[in-house]
Amino acid sequence: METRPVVSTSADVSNDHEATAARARSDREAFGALYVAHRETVFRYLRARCGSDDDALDLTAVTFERALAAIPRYASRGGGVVAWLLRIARNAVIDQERRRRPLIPQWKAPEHASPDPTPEEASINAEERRTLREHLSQLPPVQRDALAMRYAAGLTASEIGAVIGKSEEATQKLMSRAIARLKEGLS
Amino acid sequence: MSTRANVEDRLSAAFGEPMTSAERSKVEARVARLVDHAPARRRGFGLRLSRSMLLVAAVILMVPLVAAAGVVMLSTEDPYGSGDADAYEAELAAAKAVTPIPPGMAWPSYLDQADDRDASYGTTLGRSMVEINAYCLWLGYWYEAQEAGDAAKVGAAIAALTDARTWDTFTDELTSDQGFRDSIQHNIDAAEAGDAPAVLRELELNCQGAWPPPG
Repeated sequence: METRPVVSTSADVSNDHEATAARARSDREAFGALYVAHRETVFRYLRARCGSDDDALDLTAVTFERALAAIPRYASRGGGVVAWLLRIARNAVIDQERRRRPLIPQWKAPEHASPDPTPEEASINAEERRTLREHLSQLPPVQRDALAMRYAAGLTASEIGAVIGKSEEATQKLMSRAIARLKEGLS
Repeated sequence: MSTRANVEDRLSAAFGEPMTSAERSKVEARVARLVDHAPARRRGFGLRLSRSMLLVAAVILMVPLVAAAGVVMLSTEDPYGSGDADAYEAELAAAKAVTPIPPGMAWPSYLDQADDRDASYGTTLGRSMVEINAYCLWLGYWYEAQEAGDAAKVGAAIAALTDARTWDTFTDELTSDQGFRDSIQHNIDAAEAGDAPAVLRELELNCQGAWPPPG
């Protein structure tokens, strides 16, 4: 199966995705095509938004599981199917954070849960992700979401606005503030 | 010194990297299984609905005014379904009414009301919060009984924790992630095996809001 490397925002591709989403309401193969077309986008967003790559993988699966359950109710409301999927992903992250928050501020797995780092965790890029996640976690949730959607998932300001419920202009301002704050933290 | 462009480049490089084949396989295995068995999944949803109906019935008995206003709603903005703070609180109350906790223990006060009245809450979140806290309370009850050598209380805790294994929050792929579910099942295994240090570690790491009870 082919993996889409970046998010395309052209009208033609968007129309194709809308048509696939419409078919996916009753056609399992069409849902499979939807999954292949958008799994990278969803995963990259979650990788920037979650505390670890493993959490991002779990929540990517959860996102598509929920999408499969919700696809009969799908209706395009700004941002198309990408925004719809990222709304599901975003809610999955928020719910996960809420479940963990009252018990302890930062949920920690017991030592025996994952004793060895994966090869990727040992890589330089994984280290860089850890550093950036630490700084991203200091931002307000909506700013964190916007940056994850922009720089990890590759969404446009308009698409991000459709997910977080803000206008394109307000989303751009919000991202500028977030970048400025992140820059300050990284300096 | 970081510049704006430098920050943007770092974000894109760190998080824009494609999934590895191993990562893709992990997600794909779960999604493909569901897509291949979609009819079975729909039956599963039927069962979930039945459980939801029980919760709603309990709410109708307990909070008639809230129930009359419509307890749980499916938002048009949230494809999976969410409710407002009132609906979340009603779900908490309904779940507390049907979820057992150890004798002499009480629910933490943060399960009385939503922490943000303007936020939306996933439709299964209230039940999950209640079940996670009940699990912590029973684990704490087990630990205290084990340390005191009280076999009757240990037995009661084990019975409750064995039942907890089947609660939706600890079995349902749609309400929690696999690592979390595995960790819960592993800790119940530890209690059943009499492993007090492992249980204490879980209590200290992940149950601080619920155990030890205040006062």
